[in-house]
Amino acid sequence: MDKNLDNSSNAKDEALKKVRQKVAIVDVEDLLKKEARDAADAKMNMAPPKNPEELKGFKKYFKKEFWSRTGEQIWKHTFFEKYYRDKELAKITSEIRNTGNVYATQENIDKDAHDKTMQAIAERFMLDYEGAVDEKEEKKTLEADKPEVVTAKADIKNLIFDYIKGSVNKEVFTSSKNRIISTLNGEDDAREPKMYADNLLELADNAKIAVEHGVKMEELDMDFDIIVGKAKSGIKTEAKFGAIEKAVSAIKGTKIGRFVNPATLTTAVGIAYSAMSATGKIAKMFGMSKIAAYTTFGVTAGISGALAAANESERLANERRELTRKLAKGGIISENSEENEKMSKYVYEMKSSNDLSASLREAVFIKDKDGNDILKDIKEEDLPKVLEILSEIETRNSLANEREIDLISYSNPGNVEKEKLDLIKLVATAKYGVKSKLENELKGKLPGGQDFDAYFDSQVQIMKDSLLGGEKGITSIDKAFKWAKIKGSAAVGAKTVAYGIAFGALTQELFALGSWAMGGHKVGVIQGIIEQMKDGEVPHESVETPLETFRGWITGHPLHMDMNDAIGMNVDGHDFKAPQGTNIFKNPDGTFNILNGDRVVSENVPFDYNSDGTLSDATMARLGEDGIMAGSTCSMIESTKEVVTSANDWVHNHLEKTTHIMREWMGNDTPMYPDPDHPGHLLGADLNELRTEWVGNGIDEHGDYVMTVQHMTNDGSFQNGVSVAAQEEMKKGNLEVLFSVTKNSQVNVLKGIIGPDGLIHIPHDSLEGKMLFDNVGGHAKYEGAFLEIAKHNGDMTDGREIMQILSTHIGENNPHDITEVIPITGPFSTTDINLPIAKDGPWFIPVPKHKPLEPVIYEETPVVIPSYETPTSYGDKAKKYFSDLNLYRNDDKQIEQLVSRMSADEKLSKQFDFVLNRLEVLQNYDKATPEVKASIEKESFIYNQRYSKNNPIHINEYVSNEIKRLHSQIENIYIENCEVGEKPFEKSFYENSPLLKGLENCGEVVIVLPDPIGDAVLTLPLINSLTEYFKLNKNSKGIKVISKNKALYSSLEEQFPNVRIFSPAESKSHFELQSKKVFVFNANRSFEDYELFKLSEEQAHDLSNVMSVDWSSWQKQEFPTNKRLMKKYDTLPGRVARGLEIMLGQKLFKDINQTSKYIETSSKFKTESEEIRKKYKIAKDADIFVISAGSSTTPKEYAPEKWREVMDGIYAKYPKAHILFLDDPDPTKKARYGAMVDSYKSQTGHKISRSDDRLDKMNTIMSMAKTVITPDTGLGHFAGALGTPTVMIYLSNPVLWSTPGAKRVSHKKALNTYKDGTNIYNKAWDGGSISNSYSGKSTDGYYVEDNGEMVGASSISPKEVLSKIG
Amino acid sequence: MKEETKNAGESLDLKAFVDKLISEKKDYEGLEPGVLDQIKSDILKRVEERVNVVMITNLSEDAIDEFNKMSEANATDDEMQNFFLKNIPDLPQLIAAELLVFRDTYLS
Repeated sequence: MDKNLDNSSNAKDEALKKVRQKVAIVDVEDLLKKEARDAADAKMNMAPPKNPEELKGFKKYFKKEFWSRTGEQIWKHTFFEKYYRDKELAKITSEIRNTGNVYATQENIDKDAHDKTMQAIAERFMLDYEGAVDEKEEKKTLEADKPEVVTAKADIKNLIFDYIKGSVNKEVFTSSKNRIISTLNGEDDAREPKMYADNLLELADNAKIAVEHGVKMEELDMDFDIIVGKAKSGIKTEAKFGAIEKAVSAIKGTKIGRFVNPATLTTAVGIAYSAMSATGKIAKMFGMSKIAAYTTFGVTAGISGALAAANESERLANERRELTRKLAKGGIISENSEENEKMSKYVYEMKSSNDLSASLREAVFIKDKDGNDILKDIKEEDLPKVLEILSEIETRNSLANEREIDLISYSNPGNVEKEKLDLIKLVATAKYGVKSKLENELKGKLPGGQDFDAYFDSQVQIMKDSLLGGEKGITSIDKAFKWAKIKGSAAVGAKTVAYGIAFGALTQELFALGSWAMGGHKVGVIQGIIEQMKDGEVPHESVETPLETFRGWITGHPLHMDMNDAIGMNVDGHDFKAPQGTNIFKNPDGTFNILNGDRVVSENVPFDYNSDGTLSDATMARLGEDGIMAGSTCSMIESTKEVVTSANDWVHNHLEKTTHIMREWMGNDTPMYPDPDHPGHLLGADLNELRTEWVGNGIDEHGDYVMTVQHMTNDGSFQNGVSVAAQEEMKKGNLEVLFSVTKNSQVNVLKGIIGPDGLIHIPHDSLEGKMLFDNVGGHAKYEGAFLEIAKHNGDMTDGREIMQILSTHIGENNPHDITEVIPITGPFSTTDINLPIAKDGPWFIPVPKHKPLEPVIYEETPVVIPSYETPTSYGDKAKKYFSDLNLYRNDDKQIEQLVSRMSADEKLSKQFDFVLNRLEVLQNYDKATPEVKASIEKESFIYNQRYSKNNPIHINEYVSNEIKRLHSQIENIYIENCEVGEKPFEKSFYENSPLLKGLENCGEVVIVLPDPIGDAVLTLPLINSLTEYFKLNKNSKGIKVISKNKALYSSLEEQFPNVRIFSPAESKSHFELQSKKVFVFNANRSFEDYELFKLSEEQAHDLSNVMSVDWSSWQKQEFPTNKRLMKKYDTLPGRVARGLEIMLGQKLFKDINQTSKYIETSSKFKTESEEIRKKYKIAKDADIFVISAGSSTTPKEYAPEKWREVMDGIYAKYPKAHILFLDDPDPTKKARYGAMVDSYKSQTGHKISRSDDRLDKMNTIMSMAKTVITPDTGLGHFAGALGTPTVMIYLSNPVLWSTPGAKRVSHKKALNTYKDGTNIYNKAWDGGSISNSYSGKSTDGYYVEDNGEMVGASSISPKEVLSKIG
Repeated sequence: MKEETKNAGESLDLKAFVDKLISEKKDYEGLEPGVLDQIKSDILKRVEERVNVVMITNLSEDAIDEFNKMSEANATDDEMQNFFLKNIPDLPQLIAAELLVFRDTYLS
């Protein structure tokens, strides 16, 4: 027991109180199924087009993106939609069950979200509040005397006691309690167990704490009630189907006899017979019978149309459900999401659960000293507001339950149940508080003297009417959606009818049973197939008729070949299953052809795999284009593999098998000295130091190694008055042998036994025997570093054992590598290749390609751009003077003019009315109505909760920040709404701008780049923007760039003829000699030598002479596309480019976010790349990967062993890969990573080279690369700026520090810095222990949080990195 | 018995119709009986689906609502049959027309 625990009776009582008297066991299968379906829906989404403008008009036919999207829309989202969706659903459901985590497959959800959700559900079911459990959920308390309940309670009690005693751990507890729950619920052992939310572990933990606080086990009251229930997902929306969809669904597959009585059918068939016998040719009869009215092709086609329309209508209803659920879970519609935007019109207005909670907290609660919500003293004047909020929450909940819709949204999928519970508890407490007040002090204060319940019901009814009615009410939205559905489905139906008429049902059926050439004879298709089956020629070949194709499309079940007796095959190391007769051939170019018999089903398909061996989505989509349904399954199978480890690595990896020691030498007071004849050896040993001897040749009859210390004497080991009686200690068994594997690992030794007779016996097949000894011609040889005879002499406080060393046998320090068998849990994947049956006849199926919904974003968008912190230690001393960039933008007066202009502009005022309205509201905050004020205060409250909890900002500051933010948005709107070259601001801006004045008056521009490469590279759009500005304004002023890393940027001189690059030294001589007036963009954090440019200190502070900034000066820019969408310029290059557009008052780029590169490949590329290939012997067809491992801060780096795994993955995927691993200029980093590369190369034989090339070659090297992989580091950003695909591993803000094409692999901390609006995780830079050196400790490359958590980019799984490569 | 009636409704007339279709199709002569049965069963399914859809598409909007309610309430076969007779007065002609179109497309 922890001696610090407080066992006072108070603490004991408190602890005992926490041991609940209730157990809740809640079936959460509904949640599981819905989360799985939502996740499957999300997988079926299609990302918005990269450039939507290019997909319009005639030009779209020349765009690859158009064709690939069209293919996907037809195959994945039309023909194979059901297949893909079902496949995803099965995969996700299985993963959820296997991991026991309902959010297992969803991104952007905290790891502990599942546990929190389950806790919230269990707690909700234990609440006695009204409304805690929804009407459609089930809850009951089990009768305590039922035998199964008695047994379950006894089992639970025993399990908890075992847990308290420590005889079962958490893992065992969890599986045991699951078994108890299954038994209690009468589940069949053979079935997959259901998922439950329960509080048993919480109960056990609390009981354990109580015992630790002195409660005796027998004092624990374990006679708890068991509540069982069935929970429904907190998100309610389900698709509502119309009458026709329901009807069509009801008749699908129903026997006709159910609807038509025999007499009617007989009559109908009779009429048909008569008609048939009367004419023989039905066509002739059309004009003369009443039946003719029904027997046109139009009717037949109309039937197909009706089915198609019904299906389309069903699809729309499902998509509405899908989008509503996503938005209710906190999803945000991203840019260019055309389909989401369209559908969002039919999503009911929802209120955020957090906003409702915040309103309620503000109205009814105050915080106690511990920060808990407690009811405040409600006054009469508080009542209207409190009741309004309560009735709104009640109404939204009640309508949601009644109609299975969502009117409350949550912040994130993983927070739904938690926030729901929070709201329920708040509402219940608030209701109780208000009701009590109304029954006492405030009695009779409600209108008409009504009591709370009556008044509240009437308020809820009013609120219901208000939510249902009105222009944006539920009824109107439903009506609008019904019309949209009719219109949408009618369009698809009409298209199908048109196709049906054009090609004719007749043709379809004709082909169904028409002729088919086989062996020169004409036979019926079916007969042909059957005959083939009889002859056994092509037993599984089949032919798809157009009608069947059509039917497949309608029903979502296209025909494919039989997979029942599919054959297994291994292609290129991957397992496949395919119908019999299938062959997959590899082409010389690495692509594959798929044949079935003689039929070529698909050609030249590049097979790409995911890291778990499953086929990539791209490959499946490509196969889908040829009608092939490919589905990979991946199972995690435990097995073992042999790995060869160097002895040194073995020690490092198995420190637990070694002993950490500190040596005390028993050197007999004689000094050691170098042997002049044998450099590296020492002389001076004597007495026992020389008495570790081989027995004979050191090898016994079994081949084992034998040594002896029997000749050691009691007086042969001493030092400084301390002695060890060797013989005595030997007899007592106190002497040990210490094996130092290598010199580097000598503090961690392996221990061996010395017998009382002084014999040391090392079996030849033992670890030590294999790793440290050799039999050389019958003589034993010690290959380890040292073999020492020692006696244990106590322990150090840090755990090291103190060993007195009596004798040392020096070995060769050349131990053998070890082959280890290690357990692995590996993904083993098989891919089913499901071939379409051969098609006969033309395809004339109507193909109304289907555009699916786009994905939504689940992340919290900051309400306000928080100001960024500057890192506390960042290398060089920071300069004193920074320019305020706001002074280069429109001032308040100019903004006012822009606002007036916008209000007067019909188009702009309509498009951005929400911006103008909000600005007006904020500007008039002081005069606002109490309701408006309350709403803004609520926003401010949420902001403080989210970003500034410890130091909340005042409401006035919040309003002022929001106004500034809107001003910035207005500038962005003007820039965004004009063409390149246009200048949209007011005349006064251009007359007074200090930047424009400075650029006009100067003779040339100077840009001082930051020293860190990454900062400099990401700031380079300064040069692009200024060059573009000069070009547009026909100005030819030169730009002089000063950089410590001149060689890296030299290609910019080719790219921009007006640019010259200088090193700092060159710049001195250049500027001393020149007399031109300059405008300085000082982007360097420590540069302040303005005298160089002949500027006094005062002049340097003049905004029209110097713009002094660093990376943190550039703020995020936003363009509010519409009320829901915000186009962001959030990367550092994006911030610089948009910031300068605003400061220069001119649109410079068509679309900043579409810029793929801003450094061009050097003209030296051809010559240099040939030299580099030659230097590193890189094959012509090699895929070159470049890795740069060093970073400014060790926690940002990726550990050597992780790089090994990444490289393993690269070679597995790209057998022709050649990796160039860049040596870091820092000698410590160079040694750390270089050693790993060298050993990797020698162990694997893979093509990998350490590149010692300097910065002047980086342009060529990075341009040669297929992919560059780095931590968040300068050369990675440089590669990204060149447009080379870059995979970057982040510990800091992954968006800010990003080039356009970077694929990000982000640590959780990195994502938090982005979400929180901070841009640096300062902890990584703080403290003296964090430096660029490595101490050899396990904390290298990490920093340690206050709670002991080790944080570093190395925590990211190599699998994640690999998933982004290629 | 009701069950027998239902089976008869399913099989006798429509099956006879399909049998006749098959017999008119010369290509099937000489096929093994099992194979022929499979073909008949497939064609019967198609005929049934087409006739069902014809019936639904000939119901008025109100009748469709009623049909859905009956389906949800698990109405008996008799109730369903009466419902269709009531709501589609020329039901036999409608079905006959669909059968003829089907036959014609197969035999033409």
